[in-house]
Formats: sequence, structure tokens, C-alpha cells
Amino acid sequence: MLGQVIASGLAMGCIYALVALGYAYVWNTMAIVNFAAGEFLTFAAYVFVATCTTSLGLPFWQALLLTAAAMAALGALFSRLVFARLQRQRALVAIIATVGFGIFLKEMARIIYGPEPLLYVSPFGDDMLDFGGFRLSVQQLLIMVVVVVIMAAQYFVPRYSMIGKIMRATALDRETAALMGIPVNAVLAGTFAFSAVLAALAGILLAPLFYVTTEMGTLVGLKGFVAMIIGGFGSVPGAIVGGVLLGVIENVGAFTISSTYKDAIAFTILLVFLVVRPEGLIPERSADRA
Amino acid sequence: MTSFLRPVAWLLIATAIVAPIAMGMNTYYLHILNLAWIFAIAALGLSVATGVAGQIVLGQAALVGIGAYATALLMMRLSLPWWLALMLAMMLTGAVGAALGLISTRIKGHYLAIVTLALNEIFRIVAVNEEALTGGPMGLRNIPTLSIPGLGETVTQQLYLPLAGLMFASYALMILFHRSALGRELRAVRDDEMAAEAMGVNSVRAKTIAFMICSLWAALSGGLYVLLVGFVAPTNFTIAESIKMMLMVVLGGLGSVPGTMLGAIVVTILPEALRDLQTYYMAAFGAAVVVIMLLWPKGLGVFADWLWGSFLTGRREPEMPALAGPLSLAAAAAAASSALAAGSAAPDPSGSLMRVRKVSRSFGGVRALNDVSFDVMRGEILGLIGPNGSGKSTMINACSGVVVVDGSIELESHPLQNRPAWEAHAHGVARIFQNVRLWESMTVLENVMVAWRRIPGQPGGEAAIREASLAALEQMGVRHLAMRQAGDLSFGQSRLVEMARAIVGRPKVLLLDEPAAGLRGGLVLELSTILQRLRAQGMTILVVEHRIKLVTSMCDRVVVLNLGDLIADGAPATVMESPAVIEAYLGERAGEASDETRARRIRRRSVDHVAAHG
Repeated sequence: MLGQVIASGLAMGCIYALVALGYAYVWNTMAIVNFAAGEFLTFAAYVFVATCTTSLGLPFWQALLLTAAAMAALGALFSRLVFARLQRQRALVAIIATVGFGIFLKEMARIIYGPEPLLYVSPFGDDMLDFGGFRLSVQQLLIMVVVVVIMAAQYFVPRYSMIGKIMRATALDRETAALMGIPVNAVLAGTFAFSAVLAALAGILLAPLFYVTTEMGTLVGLKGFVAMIIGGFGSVPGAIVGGVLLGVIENVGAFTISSTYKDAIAFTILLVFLVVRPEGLIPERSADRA
Repeated sequence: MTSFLRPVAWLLIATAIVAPIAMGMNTYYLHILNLAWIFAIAALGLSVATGVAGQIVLGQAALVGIGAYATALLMMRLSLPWWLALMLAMMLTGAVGAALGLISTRIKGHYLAIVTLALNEIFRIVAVNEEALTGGPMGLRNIPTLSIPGLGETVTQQLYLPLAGLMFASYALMILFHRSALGRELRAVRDDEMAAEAMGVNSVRAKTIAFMICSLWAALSGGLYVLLVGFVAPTNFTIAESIKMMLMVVLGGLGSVPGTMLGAIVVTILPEALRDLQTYYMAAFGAAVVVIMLLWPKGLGVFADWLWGSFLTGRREPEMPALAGPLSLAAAAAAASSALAAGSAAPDPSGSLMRVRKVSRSFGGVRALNDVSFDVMRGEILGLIGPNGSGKSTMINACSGVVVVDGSIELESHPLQNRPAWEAHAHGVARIFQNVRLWESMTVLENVMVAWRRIPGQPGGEAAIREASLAALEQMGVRHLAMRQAGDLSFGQSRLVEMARAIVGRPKVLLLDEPAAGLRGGLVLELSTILQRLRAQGMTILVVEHRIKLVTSMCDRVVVLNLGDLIADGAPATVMESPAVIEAYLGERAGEASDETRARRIRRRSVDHVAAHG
């Protein structure tokens, strides 16, 4: 039974890892935390289910690509309009502004797509695959495959390549980066678009597991942030490790301690980490110090 | 014009508040207004913690909830009278706030935002699940409400005026707090925490107080809500409510206490006024937050601050005529030199005041200080010189408690090493920073007043602090800037204000990290005269400086650092001729050039250095 609990925790952990990865990339280029990440996830799930699948009738992969492209465009647009201007501000101002933007996005989803929860049936069916000690649904397996693919991409585009350096330089001092010939605005928009795509993937993958509601992303977004703190603020491998670990601990905790307090478990883990190991499991040098 | 407009504006506000009840507005709208007053009180707490003290709290609704549930349970289970229940609930929530404050000394910025959000969510989960205590998702019902017969028929009417009055009284109290000594300390922590600590602000105490104030108002607001409506449920205290309260503070101009009141009223009443547009309302608000943060950061605070006028800012000094030159120290230097001439000569250096023993500090693999030992004699001006990267600033930081070091630093037998910076300040160590660190949103006068330090036998109190601060500004020749905002000053002006801030507490030791940087050539010698005068007043001065001319003319003794090692200690003229010092500066073996050329080259180096870095 515990094997089963760990396996489904692993799937949820992969979702947290996707969101956490988005936080890490935005932090590494803009030095701000996008508190609207959960709402990007929500919005993407709506676009995928309501617009691409139901209205346009696209098959899964086309719908996925179209949603990712739409969210990338949205991410790039808002990075240019809003987030690029926030870097110079105090952390307080940036946090509040991104929270405000999250409300805007969530409400826009409600205005455009209505308040009723949407049901999305996975095209891969809900068969359970037996792995001996535990069983996984096809959807859960898909989630893990997607995250492993992204991790592999991470590995083949090494962290210390030119792209990594450009992102860091942009985060540290945008003006100097521009003077050194870095196309700063393109870097910012690109990073943000990428993090929006990660959130979109998380939303698309979550859609068949839960109903699509305006609230679906809020807690996932917060837990993704918790995952990044556990893994190490701004650390890319940390985000993945932290996300997977959080998913597993949360599920095991819910199973062994109390399922009513499942959501509280993630935040308790956060508090424990902030006291015991505030720099996270895989610390990043340019981290925001607690 | 303004003196006439302000009373008229207040008259209109008073009329607008009394009119609904006097004209018998329907109960529903009165209820909305009552909620606006209650929300304004909750937002007031948030305004102090987030706006004034800069500690981001995204879980204010949970604190309101704790106050509300506690009030309700104390009244229902223990049958306590409402006022006692309310007071106990406030004490309980205040304790929660104090705990949060202690957490906030370890956790800052983004971490604090997520922790407070998380606590809000945990509160909601507990309230929903612990049915035996909280009544679960349905909440607690039939809580006795407060009734004041004689003020109307329904509870809504009866409580309308008392709530409005209480709300105004709360704001008046917090506006007075904002301009009090403690209020200034909170703002200093918000603007620059490290500078605040170095200038004597106990940031742990300041933050804990900020969070306690935040939770006390939250609890009052929650308790009043219970007394007004007679029930509580978890849905009243969700993260969305917390964000709504943050919205009130932001709309009121983050940091403006009076603005928060207007923000709360707008955020509560506008949804009702725009009921037909309800669908778009929250989306518009979300967008509005972003736009306000980016384009109109002062929000409604502009109008609200004007309304409260001098009640908000305190008495203002009459504006002094602007000086003809850009920045002049002539008058201040003349005053200093005549005082020097009139008074006794500088006290002879006698006995050691500060003992630095075997102080070491590494940053990564770099050894910034390596077993450095020297004494600072009472009443001397000691120069601390050395090439770039020799550890001068680290030494200053160690003496003021800003960096942790191995070894010991004692001031008159008080250990200073590895103690909080504010303790060093309390013992009489004041400093300026290499890169000016003023609290930019505060006035110049407030900047100086924060650093005032109580000396036994000297008068205290607001008036005395103000007098002493103005005198310090006068001594540094910048009194005419007293009412300017510190962020508006030029680098040279800021430097002098920072000097005034350092000397206002009559420190025993004054640590100056490149005081002449940013000053024109002529001003440098005048500054030197002013330092002589400070020494005559009983301050001992440790100065890091690059201009050898200034060092030799001003310092009684010089200590030279190179790559973290102390390489010379003695009279300026002797030290300048020391082979080790010459080698450190010029990187060549002594004896290859005549002493005269070497000394000249040192001077030129230092001038080049100033040109490059000053």
C-alpha cells in the first residue's frame, strides 16, 4: 500500500517540480518571484480544455502545442508589460503586483469560461497499469514521462552554457548586461514564456485528474513555491528534487497522519525547512537569503 | 488656501459619515458601511506591519479570524462579558503576532510572504476540520451581539456611530505612532535594515512590535465583526480576504497610514456600488493593483496625507532659504574653528579606549583580516589606510557589529565583537557607510532623530531629540535640508547628513568610512576642521581615507593594513616613510627610488584612486 502511496505522490511531485522549475527560471533572470504562477496554470488548463479541445475539437497533441504557444505568447507579453518593470522595485512591491496579476488572470478565466467546473476526460483512458508493487494510471505515467523529458533537456542544455550565463547576468544587473550586448528584453520575455509553458504543461497534465476550476492552480502554485524553497531558492536541479520530494512526503503524510490535513503538511514541511535548512537541499549561490 | 480647504474637507467627511444614520439609510447599506469601518481597522494593522515596517504579511485574514473565533468562543463557552472576551482575544492574537515577529527576524521577503500565506491556509484547514471547537465549515452561530439601546433599533444602527468613531480613533492613534520614535525606527528598518541596526535600532524588537500591532488590530476587527453579525465561518477568513486587505493598503499608497483608511472604504464599498458589474469587479481590481504598483505608487495616500496635514508629519521647521552655492561647509567650518579657538585645545590622547585584538575574518578563500591588533586611544583621530582590498571596510564593519569576526574588540571593557550592531551603538560606536545608506523615504531630520542615543544625565523626550538632531545637522552645515526627503539629496549632501546622523548620539567612537568621498576639494579641508571640533567635543575618531594629504594633516596616528595584515602603526609622517608601507602601495622594494619621489608617488596614487573611485 505504501508503494502505491509513494507512486501517486511521485506523480503529483512531478507537477510541483514543473511549477517550481518555472519559479527558478524567472528568479534566475528577473530576481522576482512570480506569485501568479498558479494562475498561469489555471488559465492554461482552461485554454486547453475549453478552447482547444472542446471548441476547436483538436486532438490531444495539437491542443497541447497550441495551448503551450498561447501561454508562451501571454507570458512574453506580460513579461514586457509588467514584470520587466518590477525588477527595480523592492521585493514587497513585486510580490504584491504579481499577486494582483494572479487575481486578474484567475478572474479572467472565470469571466471567459464561466464559473462551472469543467470535466476533461483523458484521451489515454483511465486504465491502471500494474507494476507489481503499485499501480499507476496512464495519466500519472504521462506526467512522469513529461517531467523526465524536461529534466533530460535540462541536462543537455548545461547549466553553465552561454544561455545560463546570459540569464544570470541579466538578473544581476540588467543595465550592464545590456551594455555587454545581451538582448535583455528578449531574454526576459523568453524566460518568462518558458516558465509559462511549464505552468501550462502542469495545467494540461492536471486537467484529467481534477475538475478544471478557477481555484485549481492556487494551491499547486503555492506548493510549487514551497518545493523551490525546499530544493534551494533559484536552483534548477533543486526545483525538481524539491518538487518530487514534496509530492511524496505530502502523500505519505496524508496517508499515515491525516488526510484532512494533507494541504497543511506541505506548509509544515516548509516551516521545518526554513528553520533547519533555509538554503534548501541544493543551494544556489545567487539565492534570496532568508 | 489649503488652510481653508482642509477644514471644509473634514466637514464634508463628517457629514458623509453622519448622514446615512441621520437620514435613516436602509439597514443593508448601513451594514456595508459598518463592514467598511471594521475592515479599515484590520487593514490598519497590516498598514503598520507591511506599509510602515516593510514586513510582508499575506495572512492578515487568519489573524482577524483568530480574534473573531476567540471572541466568539470566550463569550459562548465561558460566558464572559463581551468586553472581557474581546480583550482576551486581542491578547491571544497579540501573542500569535509576537511569535510571527520572532519568525520574521529569521525569514524575510519572499519567504515571509509564503509563510504568512501558508499560515492563512493552515488556519482555514484547522477551522474547517476541528468541528468540535470551531463548528466546522458552518462556523459558529447565535453568538450574542452587542447592543447599545438608544442609538437605534437594530444592532446595525446601534453600532454604526461607535464603529466609525472607533475606526477614526484607531487611525489617529496609529498616525501618532507613525511619527513617534518607535514609528521612525520601524520605517528605518523598512528602508535599510543594516543601517538601522548600526544606528541603534533593535530590529528584533522593532519587528516584533510591528507584528504585535498588526495582530492586535486584526483581533479587534475580528471581535467587532462577531459582535456586529453574531456568527463566524471559515469562508470569512480565506487567503482571498487577506489579499483584499493587502489591496486596501496598496490602494492607500503603501506606507501611508491615512491612505489605508481610504483604501479600505473604497475596497469595501465599491463592489456594492458596482453590483451590476460584479463579474468584472475582481478582475478590474487585480489589474488595478498592478497598475497602481507600477504607475501610481502613492495611491490614495496623496489625498489622505494632505487631509491629516501636520497631525501626520508633526511640527515642521520653517523652510530655510536655499543657499547660494551648491553645498557649502564654510559656515560650519568657521563655527567649528572659532569654537576650537575659544575652547581648550584637543584633549591629549590618554589611555586606550578601544582594543582590537587578533581580529580575523575570511570571505570564502580570501582572508580580509588576519590577526589584526591595535588600540584606539581616547581622544585621538586615528587614520586607517591601505590599498584597495586591504580590509579597511571589514575592520569598520567588525567594530560596528555588522560582520562576524574571530578575535576580540573591546570598548572600555564592553566586548563588541559578534554582538548585534545596535548594542555597539548603545555603547557609543557610531559610523558612516562607504556607500551612503540613508533611509530614503524619511526626512533628513527624521534620519538623524532615529540615531539619537540616550546618555545618562542628558534630557530625553521628543523635543530634546529634535533639538539635538537639528544641532547635529547645523554642525555638519546641512540644517537647511532638515525637512527634505533623504532620497532627494545629492551624494555629497547625503554624506554630510550621514555624518550628522552618526554624531547626534554623542558617540565615544566615530567610525568614518571615506567621509570625504563625494566632496569637492575645498570641502575636504573644511571637513577636516569639523572633525577636529568633534574630537574636541570628546569623540574619538577612526577614519578610513584615501587622500594622504587629508590623513597627514588630520590624523594623530595612522594604522596601515595590507591584504588583511597590519603592516604599520605610528605617526603619519613616520608611517609614510616605512618601507613596508611604500611597498604595499607601490609594489616595489624599498631603496630603489629616493624617499622624496616615493612619498610623492604615494600621494599621486591616492589622488588617482580618488579620481577613479570617488
